[in-house]
Amino acid sequence: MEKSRLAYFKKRLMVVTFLAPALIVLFIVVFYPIIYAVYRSFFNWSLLSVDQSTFIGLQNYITALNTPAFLESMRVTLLYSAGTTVPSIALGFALALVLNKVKKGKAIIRSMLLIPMMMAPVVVGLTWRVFFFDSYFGIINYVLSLVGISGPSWLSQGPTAVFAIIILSIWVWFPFSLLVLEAALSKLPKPPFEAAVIDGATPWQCFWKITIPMLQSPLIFVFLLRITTDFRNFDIVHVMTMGGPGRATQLMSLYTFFQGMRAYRLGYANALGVIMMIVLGIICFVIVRFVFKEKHSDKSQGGGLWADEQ
Amino acid sequence: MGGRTVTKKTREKHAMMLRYVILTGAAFVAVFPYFWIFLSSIKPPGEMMSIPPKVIFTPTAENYTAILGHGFLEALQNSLFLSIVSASIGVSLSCMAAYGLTRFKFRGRETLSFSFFAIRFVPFITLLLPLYTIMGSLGLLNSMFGLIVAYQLSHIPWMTWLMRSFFLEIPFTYEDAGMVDGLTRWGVFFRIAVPMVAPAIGSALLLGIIFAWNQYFIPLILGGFDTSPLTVGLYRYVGGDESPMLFGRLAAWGTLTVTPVILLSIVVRKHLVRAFAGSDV
Repeated sequence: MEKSRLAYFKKRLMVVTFLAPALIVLFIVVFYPIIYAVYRSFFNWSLLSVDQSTFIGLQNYITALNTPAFLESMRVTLLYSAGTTVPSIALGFALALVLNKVKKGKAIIRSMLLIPMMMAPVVVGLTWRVFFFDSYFGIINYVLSLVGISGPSWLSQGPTAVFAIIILSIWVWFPFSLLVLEAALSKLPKPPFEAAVIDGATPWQCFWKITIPMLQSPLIFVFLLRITTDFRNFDIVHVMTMGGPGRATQLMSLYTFFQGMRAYRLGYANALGVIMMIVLGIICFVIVRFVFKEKHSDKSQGGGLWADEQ
Repeated sequence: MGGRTVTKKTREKHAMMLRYVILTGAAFVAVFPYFWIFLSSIKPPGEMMSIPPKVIFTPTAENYTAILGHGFLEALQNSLFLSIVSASIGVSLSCMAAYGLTRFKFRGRETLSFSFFAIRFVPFITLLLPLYTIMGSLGLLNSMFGLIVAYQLSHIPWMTWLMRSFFLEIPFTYEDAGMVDGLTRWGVFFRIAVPMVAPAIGSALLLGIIFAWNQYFIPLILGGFDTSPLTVGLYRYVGGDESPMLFGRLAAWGTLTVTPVILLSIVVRKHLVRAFAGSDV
């Protein structure tokens, strides 16, 4: 009895030694900062007077919800996420369907299509700002001028600036959906398609009735990852427009960054960070719930993200 | 009958041609900006911004030599150090954690595994603002050590999830045999489990290096002048509002920043899907 107890204890200790290093680091860089951010969000606290911080309860949150700049950043973020997520998945998926059908040169074409995603977002943002979107020297306006259109000065007007960051983000992120969905496509079993063709189904019907249902898990998974990436995006927009002109492209992460690191309103900025986390958490929760529901309704579709969860 | 198969064949041939046209077009759109940045980096300053754009010119290395004197080498050193060291540490910790999550049964195991995955969805800014204050009070701002620790917030979640999916694939039997032969748990881990997932570890390491190399947000907030990697260095050099129009320098710096990653990504292509998705989708 004593011996088995000791063995049990030793086994427990073993689990801890394997998991502890990663968990300790995660505690330092993730869990503690979250607790700290929540705590600080209840204070009126500025980096300009670090020693003076007064407890103000939920005032920072109330302020945020009454600040036009914040509400506008939320609107811009939602617009940007909606404008980027779905088109980037659609484009990636369409190309995955085409790529899946070819054999020769597949590997090299795939490698080339992945390049936008592999380039550092900062380099992408800065170079596109100058070499592509510049109103005088930019390639885009040059190409437009060839067909007789005089292009706008993209980044100095609100609507075109939003359009520009959306187009660029689609360009950067379509490879992600392409990569994941192409892998999923290549693993689909052949028999259902063959049977459908024998029964006289058109390719269009095959796509909607077989491909889409069978790819449900990967599609939802891609959607989850894409929308969360867009929602908290910072790099590209920060270097390309700095949130401008005015506040036209000021995403929530940029607004939070400016409030914290430029205006030094740390208590307020931490509250903004917490709001972002909560909103993103709700988005994830809704999507994951949806995934689990799908999963339960049809277990045979297996594979995918949740394959090894009971 | 014969006629029908011929038309079917030609139709299939046309469809295949159309597919290649689409893919070539897409590949051109994907690659052109990289090509254009490189081309701009070797253009003489006078022809940089001429309209219509010049494609034929005498190449010059001027931009490349110019950036050397503006912190490029220091930033390159920082990038190399930060990405290699942070990814190595990340892979080691994640490998151990993933092993613990797959080889031991304990209460809350699935929840814990899922938490590793869920951390990926926390916005960086939510963590970086408090980290700025916390690290500031510890004197770790603008230090390599602080940055390497902070980089783990982007490494450990996906790396653990990825390694977990690999460990789940290899059968326990070899490890059980090792235990019977008298190896300790650590012996089994290092001599049996780790070698079996070695290729996956290699891919995770290379991908970790790529992600860390491209990292911008973390060093922008927690780093400083001496610890800037290539990304932040480039922004400081040409991106600020007061910076002059150093288009050629931007192109040269950009080319040197993205080229190694593009080459590396070809090496790790096989595992790219799993790493990006965090599991085998």
